[in-house]
Amino acid sequence: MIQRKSLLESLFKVVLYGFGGLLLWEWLQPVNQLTDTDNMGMFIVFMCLSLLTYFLRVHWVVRILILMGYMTLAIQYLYSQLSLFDLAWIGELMGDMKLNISRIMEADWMLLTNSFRTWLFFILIWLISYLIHYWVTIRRNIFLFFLLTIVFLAVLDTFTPYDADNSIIRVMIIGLVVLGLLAYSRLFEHEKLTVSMDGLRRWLIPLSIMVLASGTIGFAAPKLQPQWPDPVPFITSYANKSSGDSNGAGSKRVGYGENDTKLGGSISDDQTVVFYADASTRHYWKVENKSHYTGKGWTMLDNHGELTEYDNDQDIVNLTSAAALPGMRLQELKASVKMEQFYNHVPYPTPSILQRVSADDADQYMFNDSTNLLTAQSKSWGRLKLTDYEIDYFLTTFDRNYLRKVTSANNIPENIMNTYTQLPRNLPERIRNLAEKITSTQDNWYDKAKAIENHFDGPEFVYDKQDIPYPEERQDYVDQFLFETLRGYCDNFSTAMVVLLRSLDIPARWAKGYSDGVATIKNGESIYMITNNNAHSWVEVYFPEVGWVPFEPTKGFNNTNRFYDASVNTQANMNDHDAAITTPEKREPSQPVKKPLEEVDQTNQRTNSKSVDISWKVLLRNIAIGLGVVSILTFLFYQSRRKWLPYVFITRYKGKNSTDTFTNAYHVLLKQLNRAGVQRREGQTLREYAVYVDTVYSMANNNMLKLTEGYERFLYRGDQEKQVWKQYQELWENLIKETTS
Amino acid sequence: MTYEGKHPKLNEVIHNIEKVIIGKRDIAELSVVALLAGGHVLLEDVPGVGKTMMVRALAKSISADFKRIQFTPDLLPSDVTGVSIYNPKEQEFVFRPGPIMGNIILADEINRTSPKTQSALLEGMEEASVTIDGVTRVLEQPFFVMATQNPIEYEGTYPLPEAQLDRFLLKMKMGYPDIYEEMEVLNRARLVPPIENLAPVMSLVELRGLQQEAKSIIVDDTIKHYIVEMTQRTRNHRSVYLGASPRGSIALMKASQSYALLCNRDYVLPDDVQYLAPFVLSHRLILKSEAKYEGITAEQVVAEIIENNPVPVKRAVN
Repeated sequence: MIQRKSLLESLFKVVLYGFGGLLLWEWLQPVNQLTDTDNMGMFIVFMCLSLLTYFLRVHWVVRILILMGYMTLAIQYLYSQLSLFDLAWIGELMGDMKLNISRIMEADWMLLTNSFRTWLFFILIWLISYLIHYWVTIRRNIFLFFLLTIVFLAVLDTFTPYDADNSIIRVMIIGLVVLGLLAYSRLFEHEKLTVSMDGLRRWLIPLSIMVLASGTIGFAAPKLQPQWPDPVPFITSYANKSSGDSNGAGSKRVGYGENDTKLGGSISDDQTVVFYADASTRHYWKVENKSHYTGKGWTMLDNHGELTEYDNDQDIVNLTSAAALPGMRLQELKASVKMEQFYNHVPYPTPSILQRVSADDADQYMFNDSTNLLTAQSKSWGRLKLTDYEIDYFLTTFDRNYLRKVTSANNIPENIMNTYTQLPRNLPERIRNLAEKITSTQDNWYDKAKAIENHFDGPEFVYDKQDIPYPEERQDYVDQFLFETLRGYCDNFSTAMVVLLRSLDIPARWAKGYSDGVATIKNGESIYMITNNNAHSWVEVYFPEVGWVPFEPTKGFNNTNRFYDASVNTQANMNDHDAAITTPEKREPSQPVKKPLEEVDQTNQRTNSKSVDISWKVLLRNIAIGLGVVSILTFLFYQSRRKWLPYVFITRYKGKNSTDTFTNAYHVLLKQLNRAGVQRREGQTLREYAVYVDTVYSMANNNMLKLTEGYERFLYRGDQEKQVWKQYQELWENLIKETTS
Repeated sequence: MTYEGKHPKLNEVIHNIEKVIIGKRDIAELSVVALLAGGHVLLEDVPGVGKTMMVRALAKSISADFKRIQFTPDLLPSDVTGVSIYNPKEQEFVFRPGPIMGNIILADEINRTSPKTQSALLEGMEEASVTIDGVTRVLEQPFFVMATQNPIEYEGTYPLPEAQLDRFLLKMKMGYPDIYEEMEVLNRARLVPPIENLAPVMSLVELRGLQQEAKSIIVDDTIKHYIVEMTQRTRNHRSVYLGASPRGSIALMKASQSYALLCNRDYVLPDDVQYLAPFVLSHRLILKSEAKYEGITAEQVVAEIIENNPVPVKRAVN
């Protein structure tokens, strides 16, 4: 009889562990589909093995041996070229571990090897299977895991290609059954009953009816269509726009192409690294710009342009960072670039004024004044594909107010106006109309450009790289984007903005290059990794005296703040600045070169009102985060008071022995027990409660009862408190310590 | 609900009773408690569950004088108290004491007799004396009445008025033994009835000493407050028409003292009060008729009061 009962109980447990395993299995399914993780069977076997060791209550040493052994063998099987019996693989494995651990120390997350990641994945599964064991056997409540599973699947279903329709139904049913069974087991534990077939049957029948009924209703009930068709583009664009971070899901086309005559069509991701840049701040990298819009794409009619030659290491401009150029601020910076893909062109930071380019193998650089293409040459080899080079440059920010002064094309050389306001003759009229409508309230070029830039932030525009059509035979590329599809990637947005600007007779050109890439920290420095996904295009607008100023129309991108407001400057800066405008000849190269760091600070101070807002926001955000962290910590500290408060009280009552010490100490203990979940009902006598406490903490020598007897003697018999306390103090200390466990 | 050892002497008495009555230790204990407190017990139960045996065993254990009165409708007060009979030889009235002139009296089916006869017994219980033919005769101490009442037959009964019920310190139900206990009863019934072999384990003098001792058991003010609070709650309870009187409070305190003595403790605990309250208070409550219709019993009311009455866990600040 007893044997049968325990058999039933273990069967019951097996079922619970099985269901827990099934829930975990639902987590592993998408991993298989969505990532490049293969050999899922290995992990599932590992999960089962791990659950089994917990179910059988194998000693932890044995468990570690078994699971570690399995992990090692699995990794050997998956990754080692060596045979299992050639024990050299162990050394190989150890070496791999060591390497990865050092990479972890250096936070080189991307460089972790696959075998090590597999190993970590095993550990993760191990941890979760422990949690399942904990939830099933100890807590007897798996609701958290159940809920997380549902949330996880729902998120995947919404944001990834993974189709979790069936999964969610399965999880629902499994989850409800497990919850029901655990409720049963909790109930039985609480009432100290044994699991019996009869009881189980009586529980299971209504449970299965309820699960079936709720499952059927849930499945059959009519459901609203999604209220929010596809949140992904919105969220990603919002996230990118607000964080100014254009990496990841953001960008662009399959790498950098030189032929832009026929724009359109879908593009797919390409993670190939183009170059690594060691730069102290993030900015775009320019390759070239194009000026002639055909209605289908961009060409350079006059493909030659003026070539300017510079020698390696030669100063291109004679400037210092403190130089006051009209309407702009400079920040002297240096970047070193390590190319991974080799091109003829040399990407350089933008918006910037280049000062110097240096590479080991290059002798000369050619800068095309028209296309802004920079190329390197060697005397002996001709055109060079650079591998490593360094660039000294002045990163530029523009004074918004200064730019606002430009309202017409006066003072602009005619050739610039001709080249950069070119538009195809058959450009649909509605584009012009749209441009005028967007900018009707603005009077200067800067605000007009900003208005057009902001126009693309509207909810009707969607950033997407998939299912982007080519324009029809007689259709204009920009017209199609602006009025028909309203979806596209950087080329669509930037071309449209250039065309809109040009239709207002504002000179603008189409710039190409790379966005800022993904930052990682290496040896305390930022390294930006620029991949083919970062290939990007944007807009440059010509302002007299200032030159070409970049704008970023593409939804989800933000060419980090390139504008400031001189009006919010300090008085000194203001004067300085005015002087710079009125007397350009005062640009004195001999002014002391300020350190870039100070320069950064100054630029920060001189930021425009928007960025002042932003810095306020940042400050507020930091304060909010700080407060949040502090309150969470306080909350956690308060929540865990059961752990530490007793020690406070022990110290407090250590040397004390006044008339109410025992009463206070005893009541502290009662409160502490209450916090520990051992509650006393109001009508419960201290003695009954003491017995209950002793049972809960399974105290062998009924400490609580003993202490309570002492307290009773004082309370109900009128014994001297001081005397009693002396006698029971140690007992009390032991007890209150016990409650922290 | 106590964890100390019992008072050795009293424990012997209870042990003695247990030799005869199987599985009714609590009833035996409560009877001893009532005996120590100088109170009386009303047993409400069907015939044949061992009420008489229990009282006899108690009487025998303390070598007390045991009397039994079977109440019938035609019983007269003089049948209880005794009667003076004219003795022609001596030419005077000689008092022939009735069954009330004993130490331990079993008043069987007390509700079968007329109120007049009942009151003869009840006077003795309260006053510890009876008046016969104008002469007041003090009853011998200890004087302990264990009355029984049959709860199932109502035909031809004179239920004790609620006010009279107040005279009983405890009211309890004996209940049937469980299956194993009853099997053991059968075993023992095959042989000589064990009651015949029962030897006294306590003298009346000792008993009187213990009764005195019970009176000196410490009842702290916190406990007194707890007791009074409890009886007051019976008076304010929504289902109760008439709550327990101050006599109820006294009874609860005295019973608690005796129980503490039985538990070999010289002070009263709330546990004692809680344990005894249902036996002391239930029969002192008159429920509202609507409560009765709802099937609420006095026991339930008392249990609810015990549950909600906060146990004193701090000394009152005075």
